[in-house]
Amino acid sequence: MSKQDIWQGTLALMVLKTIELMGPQHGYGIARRIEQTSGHQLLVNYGTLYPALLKLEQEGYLTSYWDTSDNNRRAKYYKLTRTGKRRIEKATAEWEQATEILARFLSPGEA
Amino acid sequence: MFRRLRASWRRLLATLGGDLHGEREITDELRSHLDHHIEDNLRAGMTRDVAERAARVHAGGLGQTVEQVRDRRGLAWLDSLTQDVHCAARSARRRPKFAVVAVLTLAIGIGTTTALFSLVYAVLLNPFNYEGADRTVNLSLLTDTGAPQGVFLTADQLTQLRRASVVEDAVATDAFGMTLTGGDLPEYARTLFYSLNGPGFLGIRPVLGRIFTEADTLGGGTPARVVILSYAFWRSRFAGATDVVGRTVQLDRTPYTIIGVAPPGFGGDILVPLDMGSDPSHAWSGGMVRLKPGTDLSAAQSELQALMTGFAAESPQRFPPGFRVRVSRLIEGRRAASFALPLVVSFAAAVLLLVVTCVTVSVLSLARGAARLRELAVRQAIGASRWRLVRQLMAESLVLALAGAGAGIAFAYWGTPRALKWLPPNSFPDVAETVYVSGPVLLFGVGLALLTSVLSGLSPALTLSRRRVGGLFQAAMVLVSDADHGRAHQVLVAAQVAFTVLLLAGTGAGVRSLLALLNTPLGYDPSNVLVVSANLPLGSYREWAARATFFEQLRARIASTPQVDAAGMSIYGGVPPRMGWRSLVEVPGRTVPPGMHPIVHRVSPEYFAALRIPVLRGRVWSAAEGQRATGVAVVTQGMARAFWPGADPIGQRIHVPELARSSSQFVLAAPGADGWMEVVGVVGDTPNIGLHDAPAPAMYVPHTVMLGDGAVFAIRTTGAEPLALLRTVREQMQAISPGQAVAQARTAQDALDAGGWARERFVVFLLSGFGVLALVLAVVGLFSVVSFSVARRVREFGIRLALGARRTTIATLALRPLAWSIAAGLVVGVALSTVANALLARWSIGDLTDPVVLKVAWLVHKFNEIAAADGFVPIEVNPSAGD
Repeated sequence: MSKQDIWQGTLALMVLKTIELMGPQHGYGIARRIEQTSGHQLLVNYGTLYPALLKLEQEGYLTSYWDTSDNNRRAKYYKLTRTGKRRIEKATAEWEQATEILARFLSPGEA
Repeated sequence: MFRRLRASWRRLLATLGGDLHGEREITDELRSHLDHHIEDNLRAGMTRDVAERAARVHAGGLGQTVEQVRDRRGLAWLDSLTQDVHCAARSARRRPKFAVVAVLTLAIGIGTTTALFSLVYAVLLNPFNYEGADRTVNLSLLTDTGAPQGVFLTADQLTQLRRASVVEDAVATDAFGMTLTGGDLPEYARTLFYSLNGPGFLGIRPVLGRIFTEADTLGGGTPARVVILSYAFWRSRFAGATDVVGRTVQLDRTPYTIIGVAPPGFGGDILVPLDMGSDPSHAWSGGMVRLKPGTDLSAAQSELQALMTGFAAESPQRFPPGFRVRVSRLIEGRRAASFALPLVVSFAAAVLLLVVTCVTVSVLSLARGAARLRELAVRQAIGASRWRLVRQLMAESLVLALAGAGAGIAFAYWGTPRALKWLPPNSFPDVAETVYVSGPVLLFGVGLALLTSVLSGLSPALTLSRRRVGGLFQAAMVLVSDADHGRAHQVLVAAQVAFTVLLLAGTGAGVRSLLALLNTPLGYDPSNVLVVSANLPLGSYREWAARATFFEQLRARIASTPQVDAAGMSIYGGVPPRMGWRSLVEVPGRTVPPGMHPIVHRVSPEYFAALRIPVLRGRVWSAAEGQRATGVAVVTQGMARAFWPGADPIGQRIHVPELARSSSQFVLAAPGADGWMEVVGVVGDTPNIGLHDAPAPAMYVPHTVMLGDGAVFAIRTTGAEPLALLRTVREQMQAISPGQAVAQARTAQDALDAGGWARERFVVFLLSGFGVLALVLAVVGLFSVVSFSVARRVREFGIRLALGARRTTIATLALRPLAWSIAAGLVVGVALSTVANALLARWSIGDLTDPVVLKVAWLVHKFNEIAAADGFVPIEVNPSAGD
């Protein structure tokens, strides 16, 4: 996987999961966290992150509010909603199932 | 699914709410993101310069992201649609002349179509605002010859009918006039009587007060003396006073309490409970039945047949032998009525006119679009896709169509009630109190606008958006037009000509059929005749002699009024073109076939003078004979020919059984009447079963033979305006009988108009208007095409002229492509007319495939020449004017 590519659909789950683990977080924080977690194999730029955040917000999984960050800057924070939490559970289950199925194809001997 | 809907909704809100706030927020957020990143980089030990650059590189393009988020935030297509519409409005403002012509043209098409649709909707599609109107049926009886006849039921029989298993409810009705006293002069009120369940059956929701129900009785089946006012009567007689409920009115000298006001659309002047209890043997019209939901018509028919057969055993005189019950939905009667077809034809003509207007606007847009090729080419050059251009051009036609629809619907809203005021009431039923532009009609108008924008915009949009970037760099670009462009024009012109021909052919046929109608000899003189009907108060003058004397006193008093030449009287029959009904007669020595039974009029001898019906042979009975109710008759020429061909009708004897005895409580037969008449004279025929049919055989007998409870006076006046005498006539009647009201007053000409004359005239007027409009539009279209094509080839023509070509040669060159279009249009138009002719053969309208078409062809060519001549003006002035 080249460094910039993030599969459509997986980014949403990464964002939701990140917010679930870290609590309310601003866009920059989310981006850095995803890059760290991926061991800097992923690069999250504005163009991928902000449309995704907006979409999640429009779908009702996130809400946002402006607040002051740790280093005293104003930033827009994203917070998980109740439906967002349910969405994580469902998406995680689906994702696990999908990777498991795919794994059987990729290494047939172990099945 | 739900998530997506919710997201779309929020995006829609964001779009509509304007972008300013959202836009700022995105930039702020991205700015904050960048600042955080720079700060981290600084903390990691970079210099400010490097830290900023690294952060920017990492983050990616700011502008693009803002764009992306903006797209995601709102609904991009809606955004660009708004843009298109704004752009279109600007473009219309830039070329106001074109916009005004196009909007007006479309307004005419959409306005007329919407106006006629509102009529079609009110009369044919949704005429009954009763509850469960779709389950409400007309109950009638078919005699063994198939003639329909009404059902009459006693109070007890109605109760049984209401209990039948297929029946939800049924009402008994009656209708006649009552006299309302208390005003300046007694007034006549058209009264609808309903059994007590009637208002509930019809689902009347009163605008004031309440309706009467089965609780409104005085005991013993006698209803309470209450009355519901119709909306129109409330407005006209009581000036819409809100405190009418509880007031007492005098009807036929009996006090009634007003309990409510009905909403518009229920007809009559007043609604009164039908008194079925006081005479249990009397039968009332019981034809209106609402079936239970889900009842099959044939099941209802067979059950009701059984029930009616039982009733027939009880009262055989009201049921013809071997009758069959017919159950038909209310709407069926409506759609089979005489006004349905003219209305549908007018609507079809309006739709045709709409098509012509759309084609005209197409032609105009195309011609105008040629002047915009440069603009379009520039748009293409900077990357607009063809789809985008089509969308933009379609948005322009949408804006024009919506503006046209706005103007058109306003015109329909304003004009329809006014146009209908020209017509005698009941030319089309139920329209007097209806709101014309109602919700569905409005929806229809908006639908038309959308349809119109596609019809008028698609062809120019597709033609103009064709890729021609190369042309941008050619000097003569503005006038370049490829072959397709020309072809589109030719097809549109042909279509326009074809539809115009069709419309004109229909119009011509309509006009000719009216002329034929107007030229039919009437057989009487309708001018200067006042027709006044008066009804006796319920249950008055129950003795024959007293009633006969009273009627004659009224007549004589009217006849003695100044400016009255003659006053005749008729019982029930009235004046042409529709009078009376057929009666069974017997003629010694021969059988009368069913279709030949004559209409029997009961008139006073002055009737013929008052209407100027010529006496052709023999004589009319004398006044003295009339007073004695002598058994004499005068027959029409048509009846004489049909009954005694080749023989002398004078002295023949004829028997009318129904004139031998009183058939109901409302009529009084002369003492000793036996129904035998001797023919003493022959008079001319007059229309008596409407204007569209040849007069039926008819005979006249002295009215005294069988008096009714009302009389119609035909009054020939010397003045030009018969209605001006009405007040005098009313006062004369008052002098004889205080409280005597005039039920109806109109002129004989009004009666003629109401008999279909006015409706035909109206329809033909409409059709002619449409035809003229279509012709004007054809000229506009042809003119624009010719000027466009001449402008395009102005250089070529200039060179040809310079080289010595004659003007006629140039004219041929300029017109040749169009000549083909026009010829093709004419051929198609004639073919369509022939098809339409076959479809319209049912209506009493002329032939669409007659010389009218040739005249149209000539006219179109003539206009074509005029347009061409105008188009040449620039060539003469300045042959080198190219752009």
